[in-house]
Amino acid sequence: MSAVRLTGVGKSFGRSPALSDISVALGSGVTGLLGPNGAGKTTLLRILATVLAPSRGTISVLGHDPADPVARTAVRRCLGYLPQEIGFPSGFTVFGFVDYLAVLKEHSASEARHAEVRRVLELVDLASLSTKKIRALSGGQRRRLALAQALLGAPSLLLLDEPTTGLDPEQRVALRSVLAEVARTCTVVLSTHQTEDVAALCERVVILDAGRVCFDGDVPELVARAAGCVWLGDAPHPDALASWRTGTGRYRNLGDPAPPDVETVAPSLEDAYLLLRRAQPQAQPA
Amino acid sequence: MSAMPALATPAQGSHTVRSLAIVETKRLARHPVFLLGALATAVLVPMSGGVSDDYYNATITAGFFLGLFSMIAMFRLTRSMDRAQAALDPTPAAQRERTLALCLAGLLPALLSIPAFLATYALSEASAPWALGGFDTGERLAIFFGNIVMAGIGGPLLGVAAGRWLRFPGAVVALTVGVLFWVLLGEGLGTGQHDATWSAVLRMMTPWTQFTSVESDLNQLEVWRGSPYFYLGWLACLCVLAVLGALLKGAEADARRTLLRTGFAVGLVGLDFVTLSVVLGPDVALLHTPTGVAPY
Repeated sequence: MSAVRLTGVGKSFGRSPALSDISVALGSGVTGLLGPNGAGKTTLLRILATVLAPSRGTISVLGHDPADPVARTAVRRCLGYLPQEIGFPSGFTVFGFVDYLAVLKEHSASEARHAEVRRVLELVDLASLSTKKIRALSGGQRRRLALAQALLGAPSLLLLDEPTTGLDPEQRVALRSVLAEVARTCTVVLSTHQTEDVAALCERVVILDAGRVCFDGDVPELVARAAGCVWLGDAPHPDALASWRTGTGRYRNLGDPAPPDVETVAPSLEDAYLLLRRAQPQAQPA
Repeated sequence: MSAMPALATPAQGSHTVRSLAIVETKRLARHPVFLLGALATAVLVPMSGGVSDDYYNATITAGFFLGLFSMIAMFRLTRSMDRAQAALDPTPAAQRERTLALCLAGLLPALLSIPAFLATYALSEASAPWALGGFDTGERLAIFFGNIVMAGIGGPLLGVAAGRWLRFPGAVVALTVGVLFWVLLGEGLGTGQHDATWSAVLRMMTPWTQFTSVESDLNQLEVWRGSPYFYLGWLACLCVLAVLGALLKGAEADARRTLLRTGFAVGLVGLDFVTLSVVLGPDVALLHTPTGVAPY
């Protein structure tokens, strides 16, 4: 059974459409949500997080319809959500902030709650900073703190909006291992610009463009689409859809198809994503 | 970041408001504005008798520092989580529960106001019982309770309600000035239009008022119109209205209708209390002098 099912979902802000006719079903494991800025990724996550109601279509989250207040609360009990941007109230310590969120997530017994707070702080490697004021944290530490509150409890559905923003490579790898572990027991939806995160973590990828789904499938399936479309050269190829100089001094060219006189290389997920994007008509937002 | 230790299971149910209220109470107890108000009350109340030994003045001190300062602190606490709204919104504890918890945290200044009320009343009775004119013991207690304890309850509740609704820069300043203006308007009417019924009605609708005023010439004591008992009823209604107003923000359609209906009913009851306090209090303001009592 799918943890999340959207059928014909649309969302408009005033006269500006943000999402149009989204129909996807997400099961367990990690699903990557890729797309350019303004594609509607955050809007989609906020709808799944039950903080935004769709303008059209139907949604089922963990078997509930979030339009019903009682069902919405039931969904929220099983939800972990990392917003794209999160501010922190002044005066809170690291522990105090997560503890506050734990109370809101109905961890009422103080001893068990404190144990849970310590657990998630340990997970994001902030346990040693638990007594520190949030204002003294670096950007990456704040991002991990925001992630800690999302991991509270045992969320059946974990929605992460650009979780690796501001993390250094080591932290990013550490986060991947945490998410891989979490994903064994829950559904994770990961919105990101980082194709390497999707490649490393996700079994499935949904690509949004201008509020519409333009790809929904397995990561290898997307990568396979770019086979034979990536080649290296000593200069940007005039027929290439995209071309950039790599660290070796050679140029990586993307084209569909590759010219016959070049030697193609194995595509990455980023290549496949860029090719898909370039192949799309430059649509206005939905 | 490390591997996954065992999970603690959340205890779902009705304990969230209580747990959250404990957290909010601790936050209030550490809030500098609240601490300043509590400290000022503790220090200044015993000094408020001044040269006249008129400890009735201490009700102004306690009302101002406990009521007004707690209102400001609660306003700031209410607004403080706005920045983290994106993380708060998808939690099972709705804004209603968070608002109720904040209102319960307001019990802290209310509890602190009780010793201030007892001390002020005792000092007043011991040193200058004449400062409350012909009011009997029950009425005197009602006056002190209304001016100190109800200020300690109502101030924080108003702070929560205003924090939910007022979102513009400088809102807390506007709120404070507005409340002071409201109170001073009543006091001005008590002094300037002491016999007029409309003036008495407006004065009885303020959130804090005096019932007597000692002139600098200690031989003269003004006693203003209004029944302290029914004024307490009005203050209680204001407190309920503040809670309902705070809960109204972000309420679902059904809850909003219920809150509005309840608020309308409480408002009507409050107006009844105002009417009764004017009708059943002294008909005219009185002036106590060494030679007796006369219309003022």
